[in-house]
Amino acid sequence: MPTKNVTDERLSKFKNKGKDPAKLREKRITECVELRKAHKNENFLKRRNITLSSLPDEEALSPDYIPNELVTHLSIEDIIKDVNSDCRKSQTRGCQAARKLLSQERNPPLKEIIDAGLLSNFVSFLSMDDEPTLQFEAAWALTNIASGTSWHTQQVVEHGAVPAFISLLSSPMLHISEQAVWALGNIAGDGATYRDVLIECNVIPALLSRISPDTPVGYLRNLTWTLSNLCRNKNPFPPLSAVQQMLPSLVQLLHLSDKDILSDACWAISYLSDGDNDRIEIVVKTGIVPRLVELMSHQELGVMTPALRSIGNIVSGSDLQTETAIDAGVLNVLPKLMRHPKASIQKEAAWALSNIAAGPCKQIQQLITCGLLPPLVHLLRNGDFKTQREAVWAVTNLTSGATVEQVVQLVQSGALEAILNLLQVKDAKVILVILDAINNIFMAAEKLGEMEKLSLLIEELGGLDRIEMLQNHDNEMVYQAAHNIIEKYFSDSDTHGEKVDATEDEFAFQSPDVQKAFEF
Amino acid sequence: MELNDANLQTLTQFLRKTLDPDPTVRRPAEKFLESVEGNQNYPLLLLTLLEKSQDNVIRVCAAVTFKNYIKRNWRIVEDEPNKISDPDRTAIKANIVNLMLSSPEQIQKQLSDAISIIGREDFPQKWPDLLTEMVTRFRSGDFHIINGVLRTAHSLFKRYRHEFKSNELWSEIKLVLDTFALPLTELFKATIELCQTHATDVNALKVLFSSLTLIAKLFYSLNFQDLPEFFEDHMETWMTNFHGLLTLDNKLLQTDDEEEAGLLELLKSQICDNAALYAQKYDEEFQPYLPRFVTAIWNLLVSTGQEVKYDLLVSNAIQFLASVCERPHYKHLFEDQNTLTSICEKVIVPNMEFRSADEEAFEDNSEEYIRRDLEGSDIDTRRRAACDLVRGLCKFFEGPVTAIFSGYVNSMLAEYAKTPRENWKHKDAAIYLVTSLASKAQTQKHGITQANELVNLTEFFVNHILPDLKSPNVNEFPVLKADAIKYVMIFRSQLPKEQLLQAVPLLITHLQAESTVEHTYAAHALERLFTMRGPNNTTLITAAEMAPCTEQLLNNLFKALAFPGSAENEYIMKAIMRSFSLLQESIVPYIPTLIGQLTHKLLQVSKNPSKPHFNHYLFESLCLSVRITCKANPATVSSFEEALFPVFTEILQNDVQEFLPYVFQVMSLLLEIHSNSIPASYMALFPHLLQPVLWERTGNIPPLVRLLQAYLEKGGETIARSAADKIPGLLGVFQKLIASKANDHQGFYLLNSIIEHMPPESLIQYRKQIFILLFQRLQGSKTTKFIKSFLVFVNLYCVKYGAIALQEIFDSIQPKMFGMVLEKIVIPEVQKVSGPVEKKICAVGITKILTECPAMMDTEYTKLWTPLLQALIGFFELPEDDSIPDDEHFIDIEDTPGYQTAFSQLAFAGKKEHDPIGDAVGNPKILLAQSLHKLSTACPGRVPSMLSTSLNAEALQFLQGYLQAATVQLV
Repeated sequence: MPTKNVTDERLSKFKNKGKDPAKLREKRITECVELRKAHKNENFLKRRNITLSSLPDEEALSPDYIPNELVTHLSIEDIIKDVNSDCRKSQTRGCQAARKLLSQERNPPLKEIIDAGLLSNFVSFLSMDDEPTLQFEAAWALTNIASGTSWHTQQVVEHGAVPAFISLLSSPMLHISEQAVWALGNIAGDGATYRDVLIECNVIPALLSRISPDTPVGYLRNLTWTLSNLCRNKNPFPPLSAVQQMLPSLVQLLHLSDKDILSDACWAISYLSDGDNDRIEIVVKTGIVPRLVELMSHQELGVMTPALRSIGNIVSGSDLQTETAIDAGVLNVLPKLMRHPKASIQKEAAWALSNIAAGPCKQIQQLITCGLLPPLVHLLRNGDFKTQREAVWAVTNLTSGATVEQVVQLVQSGALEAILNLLQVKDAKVILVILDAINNIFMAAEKLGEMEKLSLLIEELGGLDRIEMLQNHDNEMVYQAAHNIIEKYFSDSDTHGEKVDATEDEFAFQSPDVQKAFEF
Repeated sequence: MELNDANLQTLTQFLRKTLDPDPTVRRPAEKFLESVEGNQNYPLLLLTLLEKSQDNVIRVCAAVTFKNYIKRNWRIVEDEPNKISDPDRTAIKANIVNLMLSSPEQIQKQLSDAISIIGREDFPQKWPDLLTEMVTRFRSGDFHIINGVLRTAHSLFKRYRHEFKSNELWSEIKLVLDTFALPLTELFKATIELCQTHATDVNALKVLFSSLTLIAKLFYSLNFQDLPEFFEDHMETWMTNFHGLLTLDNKLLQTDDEEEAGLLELLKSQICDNAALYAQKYDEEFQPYLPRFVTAIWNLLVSTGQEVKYDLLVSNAIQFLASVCERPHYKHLFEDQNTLTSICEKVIVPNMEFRSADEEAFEDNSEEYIRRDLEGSDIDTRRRAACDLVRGLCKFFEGPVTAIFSGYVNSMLAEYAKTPRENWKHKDAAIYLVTSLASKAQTQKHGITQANELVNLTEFFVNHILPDLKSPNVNEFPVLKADAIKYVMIFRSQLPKEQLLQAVPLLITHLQAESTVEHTYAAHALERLFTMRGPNNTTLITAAEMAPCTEQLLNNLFKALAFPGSAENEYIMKAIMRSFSLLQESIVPYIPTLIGQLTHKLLQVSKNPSKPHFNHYLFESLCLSVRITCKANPATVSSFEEALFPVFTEILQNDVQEFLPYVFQVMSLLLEIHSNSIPASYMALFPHLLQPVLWERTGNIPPLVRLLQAYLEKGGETIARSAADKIPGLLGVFQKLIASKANDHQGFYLLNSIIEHMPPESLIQYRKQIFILLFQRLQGSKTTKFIKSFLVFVNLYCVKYGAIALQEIFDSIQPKMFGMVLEKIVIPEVQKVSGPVEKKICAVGITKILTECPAMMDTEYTKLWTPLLQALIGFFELPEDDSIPDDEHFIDIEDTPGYQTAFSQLAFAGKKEHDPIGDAVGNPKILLAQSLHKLSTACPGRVPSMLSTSLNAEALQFLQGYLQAATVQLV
């Protein structure tokens, strides 16, 4: 799952690392320890009871169709007997009963079914093209098992379901094909390992061949979701060749209007762009950036969120990559998102802004011209803590790359006052980042010859008291940083020997006897 | 070392000796223990003693020794030997928790500290079972044991509050949460239940409440970095119970002590912190609970008394409200007029009241009072918290809050007016309230710089402040007087000038008040008013405007120094300094008296210097007296010398280290006033100034160098004539300074003065040696700073002694030396020289080398001629090279010999910049053109040909510009 967390290693992950150590761009970092609950509006890893769009009217499905009410009472024992019998009808009945059991909301008996050894039966049913109902029921049952924990998914894969599902994709029966899409989505969603197993088995061409102008929208939704799971997970990333294969179709899907398709396609892009600059470059090259920026204004939160996240990832890339997002108008959209009622959107928008602020002064100028300072100050003052943290990074990044005039504009916008107020936050890192910004602002003031003016301003704003108080902070680095600022900018200066032979009364003036030739 | 009785016995004996008051017994015992602590089993012997010794004193001593041993030795430092054997480490970890829990409290604390030191290194990887072992004890039911566990856990986990997030840290926290969070929650619930069961048993309650306080502290540590999933899921349990505890009161737990916070206060205070943490960081999740906490905390404030023991709780609680009320989405909780009124009335006003503790401080501990009231060290006080709440509320409700308080202010003032003697504290609170309401931004330098426009400050001044200042009895209601003075002081930038002028004589009168706070405030207020700037950047208040009260001002300031307790009052001394500076020549008539008083004061304080600020301002005042008086009449310098030298001599003889840098500066100032001769009194002192002991102290170096420079300037001839035997000592100082990367520039200052002012013949025998020392330093450790100073010196030498002399002395040290220095140092580095005078010296010096040194024309040095000219033109035209090589950034640190009295520079002893070339050369570019012209006429044809062969085009163009400006041509 992509994490929404920003970790301490932030400083070592600047996008421009190596180019200029003062630049503080930051990437999302995956492998970090989490204390929080997994994020609530994260889209689900695996899905069990999604609706099949192409499911025909059940009664019309086949002559073998057994109405629901007749099968639900079957016990596991009966199911085992049915599935293991030689009679197609019993097999179908058993299979369907199993599927229904597995579809129940609470505690579906995944383990019981697996322990009963039914998986090999189900997998073998998958290839029975002449028994579409049985094929379908088996596919559905397996899908539900694959949606369980990793162990459950593993059982399904180890029983050879992957190649069988991939060949089912080309089934002429749309609902069977869709069931396979869904099953494969669940397997892909399990993690990088099975995702790559699927890719090895050529799942991608098989999926993509199902996209056509006639494909029903419901089917496309599930297919997009499965594609998004194939883009998901890092360490390792999906192979470049697979990404290259999927991108044209994803781009195509992003131009549709269905919100669910857009949402999953955006999530797919957000996974693909959540990496180093090479990965970002592949996405940028498709020319999708303007569309993503457009989707950041989508009225559906489900679309806006991953679109914003994708753009956030892209602006954590190189200056040039960031440029494409700026050219596409991201700076016109961000102010609105920074004032969005949802805190998580504000935070994500502030994160994107912090990365743009880490760019060259030309981009910083664009940021200022587009009016991003007022919403930034608004977030510093009123955002929730996580948003304030991102906003603080934006200020510090900006102060380390900006021209003197730009720093002056930042201060005049109220950002200095806002960060000084935040010196009381209960987070050592944020405090250190603020102290960094204060230092940067002093360096700008030095160039303008306005150090004293700045010192007085900081004192007026109550900042001096807070910085003085930080000299009691338990964190050594915070203490040092605060102490240095006080020493350097808020106190009078001080000044400072070696052994020369001497008597009581005076030094002896002498040169050593041995002398080498001088050579400078 | 075996674990046996004999060793236990020996150890016991030595431990006992370490407690002996006699150092001759104690020290050897401590030494012995240190010498054996590297042996295996040593820590186990200590553990055995602290557990089993019959003697309680030995048990505690063993525990303390053990903890210190762990502190020194447990950490394994890379590339250093492991100081504790692995079997000992394992045995310690296996036993210490048990031992800690079964020991009496005194020993438990030591072992608990030891566990946290070990934990910091070993936990969790190398001590995986520590937590489970601790958690198991929760079930013991014995709260002595449980509190031991909780205390240890607290010392292990409290670092989560200040460390930076890292995967390592968070993995540890996660592990702690997995084992600890649930049992802690269960313990929390069980403890609360037990509190109900034992509601009438004081002793049980005390133990249980200390557990609850520790649990609340652990909650804070575990929730600090981020909101853990466990606590999010159990928020209901924790917050409901915290809320319950906030509202709980149990008579049995109330203490009689007025000062020390009781268990109930400590617990509630920690709960306020916990709520504040959640409100700040986990706002989204905490929102449903917040209103309840606001109400509970507010009720708590309303019902809490004025005693000092509640201070921390009250200030924490108010700070909580202050942080919540300025967040937009909680605005509604405060919006209601009744709520606002109640908060103002019941929370803010009562906490702004002048308490008996404040009154005691005002009378008996004025220094502390002033520090809190004037210098802002009031961070944790109730008044400060109440002020912050006013400011927080004003963010959204400035109008209503101002209106509510105006009502209060008026009614409090009315109360006062009725019976001032009983109700003077009401007026104090009213003034405090107005101040906190009106002040929106403040600096030490300007006072309040932004005020609430809804408060009429001028009107308040006229109606309520001025009357107090005008009251004839300055000793009546000293607190109100101090308030009034402070009002003028802090609102000085907001009040019109005429009101300030009206206040000045009144403030002068208050310098005579007996109350230390009152006359100190008066001095401080005057000092601040005198620094205010008016238009044209002159002082706002002029010497002319002060004329009518000059005498009284000076009189009262010195009289105030006579009050007991104000003999070394830095505020008064600073006001004296500032008055001198403002009044300038108007003080001249009073100087004879003033200088007597100042020197008398100096003599007194030099016996035992204890107030650095006071002393500093005293010396500044002396400098001002000298400058102002001698400016009008330089001849008066001798009267100052007569007055000051006896005291200075005493200070020098007694080696009053703090004062020496000051004395040297005042002496420099005096000597510099003399015109071109040096009095005998100074010469008598000269040998003493060369004493190595003076130069070993860093703080003496800058002022001593300056003083020696003044000696050389005024008495170079005299020294050469009558103290020639001291020249080696003088050069020895130069040698000493030049060896240090930190002080080499000071060495050059001295050397430059020597070259400039000493008669050349007096130096002949030393010249070569001087250069050898410089070359050695250049070879050994050259830094940018050294090179810059070296270049200035070489060129000054050239200006003074001529280019030929320079070339000859270089080449006499080593053949071709001159060329090497030009090529390797002068040409590549001259661009780095900074400072207008320094640049001029270098330009003139290089011009001389180019045009007055035959060797440059006729020897192999000729190849350097054009490059040197090119470097000089670059030096004129290109920006200064201020780059510093990467390896030089840390030089200062390397040479800092640790803390020593820093150099205290006197602002009013300032020295004007000296230009050794002066008007002799107006424009160095013209000098170059003229000198080249002269050279070219001496050897026609050579100069143009050298120029055309290798000078670059751009430089040539600049040069032609110089020639044109000088209206000369090269031939």
